[in-house]
Amino acid sequence: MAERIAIVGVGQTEFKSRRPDISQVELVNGAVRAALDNAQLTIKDIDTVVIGNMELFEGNYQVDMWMTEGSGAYLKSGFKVQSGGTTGSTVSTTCFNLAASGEFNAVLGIGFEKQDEGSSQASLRSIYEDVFYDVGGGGKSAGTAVQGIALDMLGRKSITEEQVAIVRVKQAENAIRNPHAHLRKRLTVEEVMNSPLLAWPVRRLHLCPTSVGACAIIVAPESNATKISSNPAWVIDWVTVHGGMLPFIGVMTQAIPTTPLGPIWVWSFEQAATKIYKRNGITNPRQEVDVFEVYDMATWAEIEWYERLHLCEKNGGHKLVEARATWMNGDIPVNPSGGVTSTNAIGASAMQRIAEIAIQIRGNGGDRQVPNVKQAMAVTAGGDSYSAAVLMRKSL
Amino acid sequence: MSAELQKVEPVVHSRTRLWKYRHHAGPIRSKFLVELRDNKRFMGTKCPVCNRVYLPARPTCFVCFSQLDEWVEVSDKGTLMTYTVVYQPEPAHPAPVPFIYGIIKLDGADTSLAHMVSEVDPQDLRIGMRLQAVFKEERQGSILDIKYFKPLF
Amino acid sequence: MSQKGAEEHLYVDQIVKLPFTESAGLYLSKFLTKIRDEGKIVANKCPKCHRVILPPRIVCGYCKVKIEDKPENWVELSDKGTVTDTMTIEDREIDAITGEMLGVPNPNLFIHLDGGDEWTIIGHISEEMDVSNVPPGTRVQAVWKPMEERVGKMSDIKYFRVIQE
Repeated sequence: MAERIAIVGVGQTEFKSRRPDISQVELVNGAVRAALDNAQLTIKDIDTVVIGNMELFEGNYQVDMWMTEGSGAYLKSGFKVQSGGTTGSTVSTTCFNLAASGEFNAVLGIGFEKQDEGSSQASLRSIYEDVFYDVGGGGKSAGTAVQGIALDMLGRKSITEEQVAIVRVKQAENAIRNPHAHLRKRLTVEEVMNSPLLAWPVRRLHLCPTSVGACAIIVAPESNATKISSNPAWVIDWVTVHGGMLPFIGVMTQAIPTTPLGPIWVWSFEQAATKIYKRNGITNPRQEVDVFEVYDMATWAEIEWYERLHLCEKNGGHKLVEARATWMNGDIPVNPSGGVTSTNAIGASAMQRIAEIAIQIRGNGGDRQVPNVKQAMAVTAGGDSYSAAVLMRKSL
Repeated sequence: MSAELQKVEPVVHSRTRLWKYRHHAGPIRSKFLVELRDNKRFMGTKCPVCNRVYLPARPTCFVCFSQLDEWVEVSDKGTLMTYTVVYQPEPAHPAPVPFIYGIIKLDGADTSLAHMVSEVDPQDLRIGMRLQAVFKEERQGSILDIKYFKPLF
Repeated sequence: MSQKGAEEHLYVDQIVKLPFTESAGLYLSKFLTKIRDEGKIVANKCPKCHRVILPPRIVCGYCKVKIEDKPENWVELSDKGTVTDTMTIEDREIDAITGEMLGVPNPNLFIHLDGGDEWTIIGHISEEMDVSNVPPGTRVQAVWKPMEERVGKMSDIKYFRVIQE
């Protein structure tokens, strides 16, 4: 019997560049214990465990099997799920589907990455090379997508380089208030504008770090959610969109930066957000949504997402920046957590967007709490042009 | 398909990919390995709820989810639970073929350890036979600090 | 993590070296064979939406229509085209074992080949190393390896050279 669902527990570890002192099992265990504590549940109350990361990065291909003792999945149902950078959101939407089915009492979802163990670059090359995309490269990665977005935005006069630096400083300010963020150093506009170039106009400080960390959420159907928590974050709607192998071109979109539809990844992001708007009668998101968490693999992306979320008109990203509208005390805060630009343990990142809006809705944001959050949205994007969007509310 | 396409020989590309990983052991497994390296000693962790001793040491009891930090020394002697003789060479194997893999339950442990068995003819292996750990002279803090298990007479 | 364990952080290194073979498939085999034997670049065209698709595909992803192997569906493209995008990778990957820098220093080019439409894009590299000399709009042409050196891979084209047109 299908049911409405809510997030009743959220857990995150700290996020750092390296954790040689623990293994993947302990990392996952940390987030699971934190989520169980938050929900005031024990592992016995969980009946399904869904886990995800980018396996190639840690060389652990049956991560759901290897993590059993850390995830608490022993003798429970569940499996692993993966969708590149958006893995955390796909794990989450899978948990939502499982909980909504009414078949389970409480579903635990885990996203993590322990990149200090791995081979990120070698792994990424294996994704972007094939029989046709076989020349050049040696560094193709999310940088390609970001460069495409950046060049496109500069071309359309959506934003200036200086404004991107201003947004980067905002992201750092937000991260400083988030004990789970990785990069928590205050930045200046000059530092950002002078940081080394990766692929013009994208600079090192614009791009996310590689982090080690884990995130976990506990999702329950309505019949159990209200028993577990007096303060559930109701998950109203969710959608995932495959944009990869952009059918028009029939190519792996990450191999080329722009298409006749615009920069890659952008189309599926907009699709995901607008599907949620349409299904839920949201016509003026800037007014109707209280806070957004978006997957900003770089600062440029955050601003592009403002436009794709229809928070401003096309090419109007700079207006939101000038008005400081998306700042913590603005009329439409975006990424109170500091975003992916501040913390990126890939398997966890997309889940942290969802976890953060749940935290905001439940009023657990501490120093980074946005006041009066009634409706919040998380929208993620990643390779290869995959997006997910989730809408949550304080009350049904 | 057209006659022309039928004549086209399938094109196949070969590509070797190389990944380099470094897996961190974590505090519990590190201690287990350090004890092998420095003291030639088998240390397991004990679950206070289930009363099970895990060897090799584990950080969590996968049955009841308790965090484990109670250490128990187990014997370097144990029982052969089962075995297999490996004839097919693979790059991952720790020894040239043929060699014997055994599942060995050390006295005092509730779980078994997988390792090699040697100084015995495969024909003479018996499930339930008693074995003794043999350590290498030079040890690194690896499961291979144990050279193999040999029959205990 | 406050479990009582070792102060030392032990680890194990693992090198995974895997040989893969990738089959190009029906249409891409034809494409690569034409590159090797004839020095020609071919695409195919969806009978429904008429988009010229590179690399040639069996199904048009947009229309979900099969692109039959009929002569009228194949399009021979020129090896000349117009640059639509460039990408210079400043931060190239280092091989984890050998320490060798991977990829090539040449700027990556994305080129609309003549004979195709706005969806027909090929990715390759530029002969010209200074990417500011190959901005979008530049006319370029493929420089091929001699026939005896071609093996049926994209690298049978050495690079694209700026031409005056």
